[in-house]
Parts: sequence; structure tokens; C-alpha cells
Amino acid sequence: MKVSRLVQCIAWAVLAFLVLPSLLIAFMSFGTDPYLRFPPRGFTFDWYRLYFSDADWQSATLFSLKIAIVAAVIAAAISLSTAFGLERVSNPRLKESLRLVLLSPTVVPGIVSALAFYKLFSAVGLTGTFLGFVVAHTILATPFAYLCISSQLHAYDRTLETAARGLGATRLQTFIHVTLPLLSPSIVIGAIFSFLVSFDEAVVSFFISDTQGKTLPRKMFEDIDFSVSPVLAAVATTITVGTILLLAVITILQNRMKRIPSQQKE
Amino acid sequence: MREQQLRLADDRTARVAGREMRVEAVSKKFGQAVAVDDVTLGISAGEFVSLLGPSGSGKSTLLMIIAGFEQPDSGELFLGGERLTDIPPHRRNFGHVFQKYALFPHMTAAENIAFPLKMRGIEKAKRGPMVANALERMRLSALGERLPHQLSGGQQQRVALARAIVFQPALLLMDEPLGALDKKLREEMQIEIKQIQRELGITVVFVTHDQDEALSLSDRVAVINQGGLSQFATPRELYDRPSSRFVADFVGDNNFFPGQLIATAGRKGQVKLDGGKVLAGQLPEGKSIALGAKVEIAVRPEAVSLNSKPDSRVSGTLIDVQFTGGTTTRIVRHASGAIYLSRALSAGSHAAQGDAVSLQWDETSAFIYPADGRA
Ligand SMILES: Nc1ncnc2c1ncn2[C@@H]1O[C@H](COP(=O)(O)OP(=O)(O)O)[C@@H](O)[C@H]1O
Ligand SMILES: [Mg+2]
Repeated sequence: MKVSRLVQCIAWAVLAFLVLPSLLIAFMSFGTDPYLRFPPRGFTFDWYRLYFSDADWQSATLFSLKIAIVAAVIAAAISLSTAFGLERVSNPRLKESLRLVLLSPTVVPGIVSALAFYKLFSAVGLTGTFLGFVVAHTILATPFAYLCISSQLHAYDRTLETAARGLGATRLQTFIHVTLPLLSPSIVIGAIFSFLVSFDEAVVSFFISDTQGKTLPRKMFEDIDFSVSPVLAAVATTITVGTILLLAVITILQNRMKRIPSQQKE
Repeated sequence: MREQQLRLADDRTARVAGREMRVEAVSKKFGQAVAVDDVTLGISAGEFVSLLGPSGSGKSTLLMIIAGFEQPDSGELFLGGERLTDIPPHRRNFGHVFQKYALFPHMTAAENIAFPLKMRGIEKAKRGPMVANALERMRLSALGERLPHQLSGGQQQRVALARAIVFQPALLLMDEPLGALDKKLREEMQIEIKQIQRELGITVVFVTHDQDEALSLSDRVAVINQGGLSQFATPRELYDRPSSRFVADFVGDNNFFPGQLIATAGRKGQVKLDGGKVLAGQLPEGKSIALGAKVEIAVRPEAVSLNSKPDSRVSGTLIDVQFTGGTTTRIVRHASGAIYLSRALSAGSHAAQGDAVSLQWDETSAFIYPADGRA
């Protein structure tokens, strides 16, 4: 009893420690002073208004959103086909090697890949371009999408596809009516994770941005150099809220996956 | 109405209900292992045929070849004279019931049943009544909106069956469909399956390793051993005239007496048992056994009666009397350690446990088989 209370206290303390910075930022985003200050004074939505009306902030945000959406879709598509493809590789060594290659972006330090992308992209003129960001972010995000999708594919009963074919479905119909719906929760979760990885990505983005094409994290970083305006806190808080909403969607999908087992009961 | 539905159900498919299914000299290897070995079967329209054999004998592989999920290495399939071998599974228009039902977990029972109709391009308005009909036939009307995991094993089984017959398939294929059910439910489903098969006049190929199930359901049973077809006959013939040692052993109980063939006269043979006694029996049809060959005499327990005065025949000690409802089985141990069974409807012999007894039977119920070989 006592121990469990102690554990509870520690857990809350850790949680507070993790959440506190974000909470402080959120508080500060409503202050009336033109610089970040704690505790904030007054109350205003002006910084949010500024964020949502300023052309520079808008273009950086839209740029980041577009990149993240496209990267997420591509990462999910690559992961889905790779997960299926790897299932068919019968040589276990080859299979594991291919998996490791696919997952390698997660173990390469961010600064190393950043330098690599920077060198490569400046050579071929991709720095600051939409395509360049999409390529870099897709590579970074794919492992996360792959892990989500392959774990569900592993638990998924392939005889359902045989059954569908036997009942008159073509391969394409089987994919559309059986495979895709059954794997869709993990595909969506994988895509959301990829989206977050891309939207949040700062190190590589910092290197491959230029004055025209820059993502939101890079723009925030630049602004800190000029002025520590509460608009930064407003941006950060908006991102935090968006992330929380997406995590809620993931939780809902995970519950649904548990409710409708993709495997048959014995 | 039915004709119309048939036409609606996709003209491209091999829709040939009421035609004979022929499996001709089909073989299939997995690597070096022979899974199906030169099987030839003719299944008549409307017939209920079981593939019966021990686990690993190649029944499922043969069924998968008929279904089109596996390609045979050699041999051909014909349906009513039409070559089927290269037609992909979704165009064969066969119904399937899998061992673990394979219901789509994200679709309701009704949606599962509608699936094959949808794949055949039947409009929604026409699908509705067909699905309702199938649900009703399977006594599932109240459960149409449930998801598979909200149904019991027996109910899932009935949904799977409804889904397999709703499009009036040319052939219904079932691979150990009752394997996962408990005994009582199993028996209920057996009756249900048989009834539906009769009503619809549908041709069924049913895989099982359970001989009782095969014998009670089938018009004919194909006994499969190590990939090969041992015998294809009615349950009666299979039981009364097994064509090989394997079938005699696998179907029903049998007593085997090893020995050597020493004389033949027409369909009759004389066998010298390992103990030195000479017994007569029937030789198998269409097969000749060389004199001096190792053989076994098989006698069904029902044909064996016990004589409590040991005489010149095979004798032993009565070690147990088992009363199993309708029949009484007596278990006799021979001096060699071999166990023999005698089964009688009534109480039968008066011999008591521990008594020395001898076994007797009519020589017309004794069958001689070559001792080796799987065929
Ligand atoms: N896909 C496969 N790959 C390799 N061997 C297989 C495959 N399917 C079946 N076999 C082998 O073929 C033989 C027959 O199997 P199966 O048809 O499943 O037998 P049954 O259904 O009678 O139990 C077995 O030895 C099995 O191990
Ligand atoms: Mg099997």
C-alpha cells in the first residue's frame, strides 16, 4: 500500500517533469508582454492571431504540412509493400538483412544523415525544395511506419486471402476488400507516426533548408535568433495540441484493432 | 428464378453445376516429398465424396489442387468435360469451408455471406434476399448483423457454410470443417451439412481424418494413404471389402493374423500363420499374390466369436470385456502378445475375464492381404 503510493508519487512527479515545460510554454503564449516571460502577465490571443495571419509563418507551416503529408503517404505505401515483400523472402538471413537496411535510418545519428543529405542535395540542387524534403523525410519516417504495419501483418491470418480468392475475388478485389481493411488501422497509425516524424524533424531540415524553402522547425529556430517573441510559444503550443490530437486518434485505432481481432478465434 | 440467378452469377466463371468432376492422374511434390501421388477420381454430380486418410497423407493438398490454390505437377482436372487445370481459383466457382472458418473479421455475418455475391457483380438489391435466404436456412436470421467474433464456434461454422453455398457453387469443398467443434455440435453439423447437400443437390468434396464422419456422411469415400488413392468406394464396400491391408486397418477395427500364403484355389487362399496353424481366407479381387509371400489375414471383430473351450484355432486369454452401449467388445491377448477383438450385439459369449478362449469365424469373412506396401 505504502509502496504503491510512493510509486504513484514518483510517477506523477516524472509525468510533471515531462509535461511541465510544455505547460509553461503554453502559459507564456497567452502573456501580453512582447517577449517570453515567466510568469506571464495579462491574457491575450494576439500571438495566436499573429501566427495565423503572418505570411512567413503561414508559408512555413503549410510547407511543413505538405511535406509531412506526402512523406507520410509515401512512407506508408513503401512500408506496406515492403512488409508484404519481406514476408515472402524465405531465406531468414536475407530477410533480416533487408529489414535492418530498412530500419537503419533510426540508428544513424541525425547529424550524420543531415550532413549526408546536405552534401548530396547541394550537389543535385535539391536543397530547399519540396522534393528534397519529401525524399529526406520519407527515408527518416519509413522505419516507423514499417514497424507498425509489419507487426500487424505478422498477426494477420493470410488464409483470409485464400478464402476471398476461393469465394470469387480477384487478387485486386481481395486486396481492396480484405487485406486493406484489415490492415488499415496499422497503415493509418504508421502514416500518422510518419507525419509526426516529418513535421517534427529539425536537424536534417536545418541543413537542407534555404531562404526560400524552410520548414516550421527551421523557421522557429531562425526566429529565436532575432527575438524571443511569445509567437514562438503560440506556435509550439499549437503543434503540441495537434500532436496530442493525433496521438488520441492512434489510441482509438489501437483499441479498434484489439476489438476486431484480425485473427480467427480458435 | 434459380436459372436467372445462375446466369447473373457471372457468365465468365466455370458455372457448370450438375457436372462430373474428374481428377486425372494428378501428382504434386513439395521439394522431394510426394504430397499427392497419381490420383485419379471421378466425382459424379450431386455426390458427397470424402477424402479420408491419416494426417499428412495429402488430403488437403489434393483439395487445394481441386480448388486451384495449388497447381499439380502433372495431371489434369475436368469439370463436365471442360478442362479446369489452368482456371484460377476465383473463376472456378467452387464453395469453400475452411477448417478455421476463415470468416472476414471486419464484416458482419450477413456481409460475409454477401461477399461472394458481391464479387460476382450481383447488384445490392438482388443480394439482399439471397443473403436473407441463406441466413434463414442456417437458422442465423437473428445474427446477421453480428461480427464473427461475437458468434459461437457453431454459429461461425454455419455462417461459413452459408457463405460457401449462397452463390450455388458447382462444387463445395470442405477441409475438416468440423475439426474445431465439440462432439455434440459436430454431430449436429454433420446432419445439417448432409441435409443441405441433399436439398441443394450440390456436389461435395469433404476432407476428414475421422472415419466415422466419412462413412456416415458420404456416398463414396476416397481413402488416401501417403498421397496415393488406396480405395474409392461406398462406405459399405469400404467396410465389407477393403482392397488393402491399409484400408482394412484404417477403416473400422480389424484383427490381423500374419503368415505366409501357401496355397490358392480360385478366390480362396490358405495361409500358414506364424504359429504354424493353417487358415483359409478370401484373396483380394484383381490382385494376385505370389505363393510364399508374406500376408495377413484380416477378420472384423463382429465376425469373431469366442469359444470358451480352447481348440486348434487361434486362442488366447480373455483380458477384458467392454460394454459400449449397443455392443460388447471382448479383448483377447494371444500368447505372442497380440491383441484381438471380438464384438457382439448381445452379451455374446459367457467366457469370463481370465478364461482361455479360442477365436472362431467364418472363412468368408477372413480376407488375405499382402503384408507390406501401402496400396
Ligand atoms: N506448402 C507446403 N510446402 C511443403 N510441404 C507441404 C506443403 N503443404 C503440405 N506439405 C506436405 O505435404 C504432405 C501432405 O500434406 P497435407 O496435404 O496437408 O496432408 P493432410 O491434409 O492429409 O494432413 C505433408 O507431408 C506436408 O508436410
Ligand atoms: Mg489437412
